Amino acid sequence: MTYYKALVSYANTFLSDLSTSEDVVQDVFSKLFESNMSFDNEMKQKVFLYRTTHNKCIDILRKNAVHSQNSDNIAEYNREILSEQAYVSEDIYREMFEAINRLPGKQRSVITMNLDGHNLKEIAEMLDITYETARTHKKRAIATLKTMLDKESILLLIAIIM
Amino acid sequence: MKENKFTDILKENPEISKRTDFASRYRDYNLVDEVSAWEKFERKHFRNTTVSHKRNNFMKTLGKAAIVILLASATYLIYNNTFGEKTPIAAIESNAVKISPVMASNIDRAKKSGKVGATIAAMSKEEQMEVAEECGLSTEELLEAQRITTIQNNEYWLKLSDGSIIHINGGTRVIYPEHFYGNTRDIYIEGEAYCMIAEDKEHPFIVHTPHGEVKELGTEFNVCTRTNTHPGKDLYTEVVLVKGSIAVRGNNEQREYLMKPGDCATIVDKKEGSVSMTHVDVEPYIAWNTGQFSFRDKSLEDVMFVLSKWYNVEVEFANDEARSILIIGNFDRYESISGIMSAISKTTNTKISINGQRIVIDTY
Repeated sequence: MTYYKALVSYANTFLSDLSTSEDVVQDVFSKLFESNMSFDNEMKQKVFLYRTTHNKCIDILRKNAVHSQNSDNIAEYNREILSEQAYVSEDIYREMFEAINRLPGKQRSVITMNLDGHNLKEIAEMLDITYETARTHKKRAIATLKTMLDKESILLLIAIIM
Repeated sequence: MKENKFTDILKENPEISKRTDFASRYRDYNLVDEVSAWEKFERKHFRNTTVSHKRNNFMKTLGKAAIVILLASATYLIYNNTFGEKTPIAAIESNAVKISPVMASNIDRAKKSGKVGATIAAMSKEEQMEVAEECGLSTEELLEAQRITTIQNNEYWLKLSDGSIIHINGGTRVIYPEHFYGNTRDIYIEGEAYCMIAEDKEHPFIVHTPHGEVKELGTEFNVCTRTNTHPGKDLYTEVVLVKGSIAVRGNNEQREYLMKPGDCATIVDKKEGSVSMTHVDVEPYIAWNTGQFSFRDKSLEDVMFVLSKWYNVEVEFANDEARSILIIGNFDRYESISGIMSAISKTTNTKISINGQRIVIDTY
């Protein structure tokens, strides 16, 4: 179930409806569960989960397009064949989310508010702390994240929140 | 575009909506209720099946469930068997490289050349790269070996190849070689660790920290480094000697300072007088290493200092009178902070409120 939450958030980028996204991922896990599939390594399982989720989302989008008689768009919803690497890259999100959620309380608040688009000055006001303290929390958060994530992920994360 | 790695996407369009994508995905991620999802999944696959169906497939599906769960739980987590509970306690960094015999001999040669001293682990990144280039090694090869970073609030017992045992506190990074070679045994610690060193007079054991090093021959001591505290507060390494004898030295000073049991050395980055020595009661410093917190006539302030370190909380005394209340008692380290605080609150007649990572103590 390590991947469940991350897969739902991935599905939701296509479907923009959390409960449908949850259903999709439930289906994916059911499919894995009912079939006799086994995987040599975690990477293959990861690719299977993301690929199946992706394909199911595309199917739903196509079906909806047919229903709304908006057939012009159907062509857009072809099942793309993405490389394994593309799915492995999707999983970077999960690693980053997990890392952020492991941060101590205040550091986490500052980072999540930062992600929501607030700058340090606003965050300091909302948390009722000084600007300097907010800045320290952010610095410490990044230092903590550095110990948990590989270089690529941390660079990406820093690029997003800077 | 999806084909590209994120970094490529980022490079191509530095201002794209990745921020909103990341933020909204993170929001979704946290909205998902894993527990109820698992319950739904269980209902579907275990309870709603007919009896005959169930019998036929039960073992099969059970086996599969185990596979799914095992595979899905991160492979990089080490499980702690010491306390009979399977909780993840440390994550091996994914860039940890195992040292090959060729690398070992390269590093050994580099060490003998005198270019690479025992302080390699304590060098700055730039210095490491410079030395690595000179020796024809990559920085990774030079730093070689294993790195371990413990998750906050978790601990890990590490046994080194020489038999020494390092008890690593939460949120600590340790770099150590899989095997020791050369004249000294070197490891690097950033954070907090309790070291029980196997005696080997021929091969001194050296602990490197961001501020200095600890050299010893067979003993027990606690190392705690402060590298990211509040601005204004000093950054330092604190070494408390429990048994035996050790010598400490600041990174920028040649002089070695000898320590006796009960001594606490504070090492800072200075050219002279980088080490200051005080005599302390070792208990508050090493309490985290033993299974219990044991307090004998300790002030509530001292007690809270130890607890705040272990539970990673901030403590505030709303009333200074409460600081000096004396505490006698043993607490189980694996109990929740709220249990311990309610015991203290009842016996000392204080008002204690816990608010996330913050504890406020007041008198009535």
